[in-house]
Amino acid sequence: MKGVLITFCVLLLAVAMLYMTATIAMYSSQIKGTPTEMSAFERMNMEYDTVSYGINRILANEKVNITIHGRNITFESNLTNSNRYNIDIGRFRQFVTGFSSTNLSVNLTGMEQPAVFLKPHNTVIEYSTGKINFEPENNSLSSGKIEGYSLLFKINQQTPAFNWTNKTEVLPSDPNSLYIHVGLQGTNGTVYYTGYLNRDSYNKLSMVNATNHTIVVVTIYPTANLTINYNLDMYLKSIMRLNSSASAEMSENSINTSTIYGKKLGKVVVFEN
Amino acid sequence: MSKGFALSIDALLAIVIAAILIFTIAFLSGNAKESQYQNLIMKKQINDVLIVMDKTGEFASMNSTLINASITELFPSSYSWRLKMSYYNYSNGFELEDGFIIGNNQSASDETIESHREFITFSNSSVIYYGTAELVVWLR
Repeated sequence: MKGVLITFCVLLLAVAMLYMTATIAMYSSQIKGTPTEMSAFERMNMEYDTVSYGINRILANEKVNITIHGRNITFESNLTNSNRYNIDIGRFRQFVTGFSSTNLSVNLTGMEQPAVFLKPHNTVIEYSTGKINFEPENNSLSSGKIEGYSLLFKINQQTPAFNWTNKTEVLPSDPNSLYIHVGLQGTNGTVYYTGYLNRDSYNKLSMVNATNHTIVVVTIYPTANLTINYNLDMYLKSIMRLNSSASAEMSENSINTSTIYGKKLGKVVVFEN
Repeated sequence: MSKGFALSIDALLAIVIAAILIFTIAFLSGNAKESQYQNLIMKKQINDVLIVMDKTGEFASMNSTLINASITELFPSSYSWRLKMSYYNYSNGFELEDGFIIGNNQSASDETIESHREFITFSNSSVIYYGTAELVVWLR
């Protein structure tokens, strides 16, 4: 009877030992595996940051440089017909996928016509050929957050004349007032307009050159949606004045970085406040 | 000698062997953990250095003296490192235009950690070079 009891105890102990050994072995394997996985994620994050930062720099140098100072957001662009931006975005993608230390795939959806999204104001700024659109999303919350626009044009042509075809001016104290400043510097002087327009009305300013051709059209649609159409190369500095500070990012999940370790989908942060 | 005594000795022996086994695994596991995390920390440091050098524009400067001084300042003195910079231009494909290698000489026995970053350089608001920085680090 005593022998059976001892044998049973030994058996129990052996089972316990085996269980402990197996647990330790599994734990050890996990510990070894975790840094390897983290190292792989590090590599993927590095590639993502490379792509995001590279695109941000191409955007700032070749399309629009965005800076935020308090409530003022400044967009500076040299608007040309050159497709240099698209070429460089394509080459950069080709370069990072070809020269990466890992098997990398990058999808840059929507980069050709970049759109910048302002948070938390729900406003999108879209750049397409011959057109820039500052569009508060269609709700009262976003449009009310834009207090005004200041547009400064520089062109290498004779200074055109300003011609307002639609204009509804209001007092600065009007709750629907939208501050507008438009200035243009041409080869023979400057022209400008400063005033307060009704943000809920349709306003249109055409700039007509000496040969009676319209070269720039600034339109303000309800509500506080500003569009610039142009058909010449020029420098443009646009300043949006908001009622609070903002952050800017590309509006689409345009970066899809895929490596053998996993995928990371995200936006290009243009300016973080 | 009774049968029970023999069994007790047997059981004691089994416990001693099992205990040795457990302590050996625990010891090896502890060592493995330390080594792996040390490598991960080094990897993170290398990545941080590469990101900083890119975002401060030092890689774009193509100045080996400046880059050398910055990396020496950024890494702890217990680290040795080696950096290979390559600058490519694009004309019917990417062609190597310039490059240099700076840092310490490495021996075959050194256990190294490495990382890699691609970057771009601009001139007159246009991309002029597409570059790669390959950084290798090991403990002195």
